[in-house]
Amino acid sequence: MGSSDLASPSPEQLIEGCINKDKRSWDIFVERYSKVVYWAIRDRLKRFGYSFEDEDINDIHQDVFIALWADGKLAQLKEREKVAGWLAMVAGNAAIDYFRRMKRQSPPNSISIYEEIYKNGDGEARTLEDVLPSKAAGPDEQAQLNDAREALESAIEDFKPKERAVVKLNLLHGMKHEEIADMLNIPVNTVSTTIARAKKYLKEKLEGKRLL
Amino acid sequence: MTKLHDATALKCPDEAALAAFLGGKLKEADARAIEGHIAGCPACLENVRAGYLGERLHDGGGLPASDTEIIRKAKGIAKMDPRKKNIRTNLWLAATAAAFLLSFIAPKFFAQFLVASLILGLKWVSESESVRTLIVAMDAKRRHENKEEEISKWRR
Repeated sequence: MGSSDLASPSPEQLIEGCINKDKRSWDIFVERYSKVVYWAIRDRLKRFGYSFEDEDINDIHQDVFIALWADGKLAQLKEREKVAGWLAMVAGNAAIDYFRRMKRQSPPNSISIYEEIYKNGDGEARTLEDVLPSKAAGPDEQAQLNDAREALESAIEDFKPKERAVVKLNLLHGMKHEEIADMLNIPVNTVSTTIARAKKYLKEKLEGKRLL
Repeated sequence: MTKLHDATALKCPDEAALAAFLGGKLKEADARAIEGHIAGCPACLENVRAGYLGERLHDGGGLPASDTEIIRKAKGIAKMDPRKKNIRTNLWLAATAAAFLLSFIAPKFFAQFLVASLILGLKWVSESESVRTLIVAMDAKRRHENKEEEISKWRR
């Protein structure tokens, strides 16, 4: 790195420096990206329902940076300006690997889309809660929810791949329309229309099975 | 329930390919292939979500600062030169073997050389990467067991 670049090197310069084992670049890299690595580890562990302590996050954080420096993982990254997003994915996967390797815990075999939807009673319109008002209570409610889940899972497979991704990002991952549009590089209106159409279709399916 | 890993799905794209997808840098056909894959693979969809939000949160500057100790430890990784470390570890092993052999060559100092070989051997074990990994693994296991014990106590 040239002396003029030392104050605030670009991600590309930093990565190049780290690949070439420049220790100053590495120090700046760690300072700059430790936060996103830490966030991604916590986020993945929480979303997958693992029970964890601060020591686990610290160990995984260290594993990630060892892979980047000693194992040459950084050289795999092609879109270097997107390093923060790439690191978030690497850190999330490292968290899963750590729990599998050190604690013999595998990630869940399934993600319950609708459990989460029913748990979140914050009234936000982006969940299926609006579509599936529960009329029963106690065990009946649970049975109704299970039936509804199965019916929705089956119905969601009827969508085209892109629509399925949009619907799952909204319903499973709770992402906003604008975020999905930005992520998949499609207009917000298309996302909103797809979600509205999908909800209508899912509702019809449920009504057809007398689940609504 | 949505399966996290679909046995019928094609091989999952790696993080670099998903980052390129998020950055809109892939050819149309490659982007469509990834789009089709993530629609049916919640594990990759989870990665794409993490990648997108990670980038946004980082750029937005809203993430809290990491603990200074874990930053210091991560910076310290660069100080580890694996070649030098291997040479040093092998030197301890060679010294252990030499002390052990000397205890037989010079029977007069048998006990002294044997003790020296024991000390050098312990030093070699403590420097060895595989042993350190084992210690870390056992420590994690111990913490996990302690936690389970606490939970069962709490249940009782």
